[in-house]
Amino acid sequence: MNYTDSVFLLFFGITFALYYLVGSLRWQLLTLVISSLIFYSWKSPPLLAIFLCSWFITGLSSYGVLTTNNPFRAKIFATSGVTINLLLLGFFKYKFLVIQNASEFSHQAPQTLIDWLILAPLPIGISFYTFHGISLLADIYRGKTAIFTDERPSLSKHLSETLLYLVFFPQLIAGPIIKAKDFYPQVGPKQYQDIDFPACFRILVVGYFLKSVIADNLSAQTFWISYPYFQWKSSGDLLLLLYGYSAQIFADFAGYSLIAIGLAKLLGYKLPDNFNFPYLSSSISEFWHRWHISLSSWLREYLYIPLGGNKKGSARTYINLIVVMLLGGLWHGAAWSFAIWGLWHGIGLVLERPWLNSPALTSANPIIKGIRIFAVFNFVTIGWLFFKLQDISHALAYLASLFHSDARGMTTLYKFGAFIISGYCFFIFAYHLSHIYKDVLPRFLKDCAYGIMLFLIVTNPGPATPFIYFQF
Amino acid sequence: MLSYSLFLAYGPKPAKAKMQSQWQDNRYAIETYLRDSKTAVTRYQVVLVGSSLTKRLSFDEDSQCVYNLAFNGDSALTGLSVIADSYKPPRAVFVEINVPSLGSNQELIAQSSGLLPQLSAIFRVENMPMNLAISYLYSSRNRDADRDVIEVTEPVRLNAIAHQVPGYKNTLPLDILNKNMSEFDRLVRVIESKGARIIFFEMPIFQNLEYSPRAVQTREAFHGTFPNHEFLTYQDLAKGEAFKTSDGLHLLRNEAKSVSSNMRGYFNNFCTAQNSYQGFSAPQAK
Repeated sequence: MNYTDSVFLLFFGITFALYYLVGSLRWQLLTLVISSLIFYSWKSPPLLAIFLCSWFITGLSSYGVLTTNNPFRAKIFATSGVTINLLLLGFFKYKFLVIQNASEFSHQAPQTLIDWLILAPLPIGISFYTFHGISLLADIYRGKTAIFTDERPSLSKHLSETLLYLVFFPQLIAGPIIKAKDFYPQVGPKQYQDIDFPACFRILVVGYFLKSVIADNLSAQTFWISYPYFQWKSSGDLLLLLYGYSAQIFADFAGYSLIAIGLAKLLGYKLPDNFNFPYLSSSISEFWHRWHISLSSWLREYLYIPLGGNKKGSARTYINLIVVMLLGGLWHGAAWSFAIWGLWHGIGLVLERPWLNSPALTSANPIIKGIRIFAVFNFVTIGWLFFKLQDISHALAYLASLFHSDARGMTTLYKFGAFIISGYCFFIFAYHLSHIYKDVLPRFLKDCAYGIMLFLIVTNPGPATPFIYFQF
Repeated sequence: MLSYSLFLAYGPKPAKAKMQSQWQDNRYAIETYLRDSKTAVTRYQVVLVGSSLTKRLSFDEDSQCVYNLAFNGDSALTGLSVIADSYKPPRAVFVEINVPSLGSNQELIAQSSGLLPQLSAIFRVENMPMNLAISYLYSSRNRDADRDVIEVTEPVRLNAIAHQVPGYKNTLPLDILNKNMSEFDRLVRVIESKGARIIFFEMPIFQNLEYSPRAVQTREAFHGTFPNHEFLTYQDLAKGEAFKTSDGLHLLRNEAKSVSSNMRGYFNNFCTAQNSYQGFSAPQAK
């Protein structure tokens, strides 16, 4: 189910009504869990088995950590829970890097459980619920009961709350990744009167606008960034398309995140912000504080800091940065291009680190800052090519074509396409600009902006395309 | 919304509707066809259904009679589904046989034939603000000029053809082919039962691919499923010429014009109300 499907709107309406009608916490939890399971298994019910397997392992091992007084046992429970979760993720996500022939059998019906496991597609959201599971185990192991209101819950209560944490449908498929210590304290009875409807409305309008109007319409243009079609475009066209993709991926993921945050807020839960106007970043490290914030903070807390962070000297800091970004890249998918994308950012972080306090990177002069923002935007945009073209040779061919293309100059269609891409990119530019001037913008202008966005959601939606991050 | 509705009703109209993407172009083709097929005045006599190969054909001179209901990125099955569900079918439906691997795109049909576009003009695809803007800005241009995008330099063209060859060396999986052929069979029966004549045709492609395993398999599948129907072969449409394609499959602009002209000879009779169709014995060639 996609947030932009009409069936989802119906599904959410029913869930919302039931959720606030049933009243008590127990029934509210049950409503959320059942509706989340329906949401998850909508298109591919068999994959629910893999999710339930992950939940059961996480639930039992975290309960073991929570209830034992023996530190060694706690470590065993936590380590085994994390390991099994990572093995599940590793198998289902990365098997196709090893099992080269699996796609040849994709038209055959699986005969045995092994066949089924080999041929099973990537379970939706596995990267996200695995990270949620690891967060739960790590938080309990470190802080024990601090995240729970009840210090020693029964196994059934713990399993049901863990199921809600992992399956909570607004964040199930593609985040934002919420840490266990931030989610569990929120579990409690919710009242209809407490909903901040105007805030939810504003968040949802911006989310749906970014997704349906900007990302979906741009996706129909950036289709040309695929092999062999990009060979038919001139260097100017290719650069324009790449900028278009940069705007599209932001609008797609930020739009998705805002919709998830808005829906969770309607159900009484606060999910963390995932984007903070990332294309205003004037350094790569700042970009990672503004882009996919929930993932970067997860990686920082559960990977970078345990590896030693920046506390073990410069060389070790650089190695840690590269390792974290490389693994963060590979987390996105089973293709070496994602590793290269991670490496690209890792190298960028390492190269800029010695200069972070230099006058060039700290100057508040608007021209110098503007140049920095433009440079970071282009650095990030080139990186997106490895996201879009997962065959490295194609990505390199595209990069080469940016400098020299065998195709003609700007074609007539592309002058026409340039208008469309620039038009949608303008909204992303204006969205970022509005953040800079948010304190001086008059109220009526803001209201007009919401009105225009709502109007365009109704009249100018693009072809419904799956969220880019659903594949991860 | 009200202001926009009033603007659409009383504001200036662009000379020609332009769409921002091929998906919307497909949607526009269906919405327009369904609207026009409801009235006797605008009902078409001949409709072509097919993939992007047929989409390149242009019949502007016969626009009162012929409608090209082919789709980029989709197959003839989508067009047949639209005709089967429409108010009244045309006299003849020309069905492209080149791409039997794709099924009917129900999502596209649902979007285009849904209640909203019929209910209010603001939900029609040509009235999307971005489409309206580009229609005002670009509709005065020659439509063919837009198609320059498919004209490529020789190295790029040869590379694209080379990319196409391996796919055509393999036949289609039988389960997919059989499923789609059954759907063709079903839809053809429905449309014929409403009084339309069905004629199949094969678009010319890169010469070396004409007898590739996939092309032969496709041809045999159609002839096997429809042994008593009329077929226009690629030789009929090529008239002995070896056409140039942009990627092995899609004709270049001038070649598409030439095929359109050759094809016109085969359906001219349908466009003349007083003449009954006499078959292909005396086509009016270009």
